[in-house]
Amino acid sequence: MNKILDIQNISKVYHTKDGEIEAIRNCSFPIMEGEFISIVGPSGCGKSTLLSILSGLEKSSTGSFTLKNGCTVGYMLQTDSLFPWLTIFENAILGLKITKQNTKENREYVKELLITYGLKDFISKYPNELSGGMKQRVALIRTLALKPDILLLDEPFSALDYQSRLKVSDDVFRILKKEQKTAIMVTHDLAEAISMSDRVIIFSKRPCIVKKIYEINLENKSFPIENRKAKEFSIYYDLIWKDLDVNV
Amino acid sequence: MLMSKEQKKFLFHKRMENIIVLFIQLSLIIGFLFIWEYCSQKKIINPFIFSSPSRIWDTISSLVNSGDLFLHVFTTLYEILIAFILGISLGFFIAILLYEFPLFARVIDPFLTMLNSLPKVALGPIIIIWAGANIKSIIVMALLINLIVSIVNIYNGFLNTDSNKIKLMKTFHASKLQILKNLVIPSSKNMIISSLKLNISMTLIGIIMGEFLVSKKGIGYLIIYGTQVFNLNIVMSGIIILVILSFLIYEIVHIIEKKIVREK
Repeated sequence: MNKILDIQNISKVYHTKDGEIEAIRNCSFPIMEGEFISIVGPSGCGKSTLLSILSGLEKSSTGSFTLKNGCTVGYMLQTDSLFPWLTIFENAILGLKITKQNTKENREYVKELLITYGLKDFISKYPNELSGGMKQRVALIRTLALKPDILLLDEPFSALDYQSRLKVSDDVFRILKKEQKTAIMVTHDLAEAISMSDRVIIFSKRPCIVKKIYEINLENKSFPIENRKAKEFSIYYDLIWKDLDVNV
Repeated sequence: MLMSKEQKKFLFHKRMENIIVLFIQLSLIIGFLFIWEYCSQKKIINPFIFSSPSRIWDTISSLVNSGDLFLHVFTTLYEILIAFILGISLGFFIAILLYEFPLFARVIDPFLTMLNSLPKVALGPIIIIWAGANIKSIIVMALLINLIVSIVNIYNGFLNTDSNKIKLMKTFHASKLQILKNLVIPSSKNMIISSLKLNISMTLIGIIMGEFLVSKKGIGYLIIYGTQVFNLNIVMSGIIILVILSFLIYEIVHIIEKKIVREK
């Protein structure tokens, strides 16, 4: 497998009135093409910051990352952030419009995605007529519309109730596999991380460093809901839980 | 459609309630007018100072017949329209500047507060000297009163834009102008429309105040002229016309608001 993204010694320091906050310290790891990576860590550590840096929203203080030639990054946020005054279709092509790629061909591609992923009847509806899970799917399609090679997912399911969460994470996983995307997901949910990922990266408390990386090898690896039934599942869960070292 | 007995009963009660409210409102007006007329006729109150409904009716009729009423109403409406449109468009423009240049917003914030808390009538004499004793002074007076309210309202609408949506736009590397056009303005639409309502009330205050200060026609002129010649019939007529006019204008804005908001 080829390296698609290589993160090298990224550090991030925030400056506030009350002083400096070191969010990330010397973070390095490679990401392979087609891989699904989850990042877990205590809340308030620099997980989301790392995604912001990779997507270009923020600059790292030191260090850098290299993307494979010609590869692009797409970012899916925690909230669906659909615009209530636009239809589902208009929402899905928002990125195309902003980046001036609103061609007929691309619009057709988005329409296809919407139809393929069960939103055919909602194309000209408004967001308030959709369930939370459906909105999240639209948000994913809005990101996929720009045909990114790597997807950054920032707790994409945290706004959903437990049942839709299982279902939507399964859906999203299938979509990403089908479209052959590489993904980096930040999550609080260990079970979600283990059931979806090829590797789980554990971040420490602030300043955030890479504490450990687990390769998830499940027998009969399939889709997330099924993966939860694997016998190794609980072993990984225990190991990662101990590493997180949660003090309440 | 079939309706259950209970539903029919509920709807009937609702309708009855509406009728009763309207009936009481009408009785209050008619009763008030009747008592006023009666006290005036029987000299319980001084008709010279308090006028009476019949005298007001006669005054308004003669104003209609001489064509003066139309002139005064038209003049005031014309001034309101200009001040309203200027106030909203300038307010919108300045709110965009404040939003796009936060440093500028910080710099002028205390000055805006100062200007906002100042009773604008105090500036009347200066306005007349600077803008001249004409319609310009009236418009400037109204603008002073409605502009700041518009700026503050629309600017606050802009500031309330969902930060997650702004972040989303930034993940697409949207320019400031794109964020403004595609997100900030459409998401503040309701706020902007509700500021129209506030703006129209402020404009009315400003215009009448301006007409009090300097004018040769208009409803404010009618009222101030009536006071100067001590003809309270004219004063009362002016006030009644103003009440009806402002009620109608407010309702029109209200209907427009309802229509736009419903359209999404």
